[in-house]
Amino acid sequence: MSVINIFRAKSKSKDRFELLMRPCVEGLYRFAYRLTQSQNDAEELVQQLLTKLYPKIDQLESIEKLQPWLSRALYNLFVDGFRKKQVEAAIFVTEDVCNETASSSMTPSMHTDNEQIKQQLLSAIERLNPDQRAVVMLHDAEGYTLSELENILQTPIGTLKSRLNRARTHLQKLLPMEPFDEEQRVKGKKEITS
Amino acid sequence: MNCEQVNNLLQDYIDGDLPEAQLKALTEHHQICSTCESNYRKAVQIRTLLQTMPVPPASEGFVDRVLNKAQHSSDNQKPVIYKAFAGAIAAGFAIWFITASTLLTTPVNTQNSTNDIYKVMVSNEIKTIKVAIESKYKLSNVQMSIELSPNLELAGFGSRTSINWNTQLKKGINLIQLPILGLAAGDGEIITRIQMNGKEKIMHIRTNYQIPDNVWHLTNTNINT
Repeated sequence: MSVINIFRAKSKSKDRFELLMRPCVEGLYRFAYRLTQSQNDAEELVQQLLTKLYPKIDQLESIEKLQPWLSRALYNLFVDGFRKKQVEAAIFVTEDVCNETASSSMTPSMHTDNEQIKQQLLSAIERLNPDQRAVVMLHDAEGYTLSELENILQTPIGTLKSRLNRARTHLQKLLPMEPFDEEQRVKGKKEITS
Repeated sequence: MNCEQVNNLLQDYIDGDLPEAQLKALTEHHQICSTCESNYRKAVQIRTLLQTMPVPPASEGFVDRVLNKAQHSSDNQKPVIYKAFAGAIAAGFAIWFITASTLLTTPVNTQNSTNDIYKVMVSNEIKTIKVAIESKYKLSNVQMSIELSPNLELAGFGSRTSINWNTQLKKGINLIQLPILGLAAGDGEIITRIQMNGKEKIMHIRTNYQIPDNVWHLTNTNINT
């Protein structure tokens, strides 16, 4: 193959890759953010994925439902790489940690501060293991159904449900906060049960 | 329905997945049990907060950047860092790159923790051996230690054959410079340990100190006379 042909082939695969992936990048970033809770880490995760996929443009073009496939690939990458990172801070939640956090003293004014609670929630999410974090963030925050997640995460619904329950229970234990006032409570109840 | 049963059904209740009969029993229980009612309210609050948690937009130009970089990174699979590494070794420095994940997922005292072995030449003049520790993330409360074989000296530390200190690793390259002096000919070893959260990474620098022939002859001559 001549130098010119090589150049043309490269340009062509670049165009094909861009055409295929450009519409998916924002969705992937959003997905990655839910997994990592960090803009930098989410961008890095998407970058890693696209770099890995670039040489496989032919295979990518043959995938029927690309977005769920990409989400699954992103999740696998997250589990492989970012899980290790999370081990660093000995993040896995133990009952001791839960109890310690739940009994930590908070002033009444902090209890009613919604921003403060959000920060606590973020911190609590970071303490979840990656599998639990993925399911609680993608289901509760991002609105994926469990059957969608069954396909994306390649995990049976029963397991997902169990992880979801454990994640929510951990979050409850980790958050030393007071419930909403009556008005918010009723509103929340209606939203959930409707 | 008792508290344990209610607790087991809590998540299904929040998801609206409870059959009518269980829903009724659970609601009745909430009316007489403030603890379960409080748990329920807290769970609802968390769910509501999660639903309203925003995703900040990616940095400006991210889509273009990530697509371009995917192409370029893919075209240059071999990281530049290895070239730098090879160059550094050729220059006589031991430079190690470890990742935080390697450090912290390596169990204490396992075979895996002793695999990093490098070789450098030392002499009767101080030679600076540089140890570069690359950490992907900022880490605090990291315990470092340097141990030397008896035929080596860490300049400025007298006859001490080991030093320990507590430190932080910043994100990126953390450089430790070890001014090493050879005290006697032969093989030696510098052991660097990095410990955190009960995990340990051990790296070895094997040293060799060969006294040049002319120095040896001069010494013999001095002794004989």
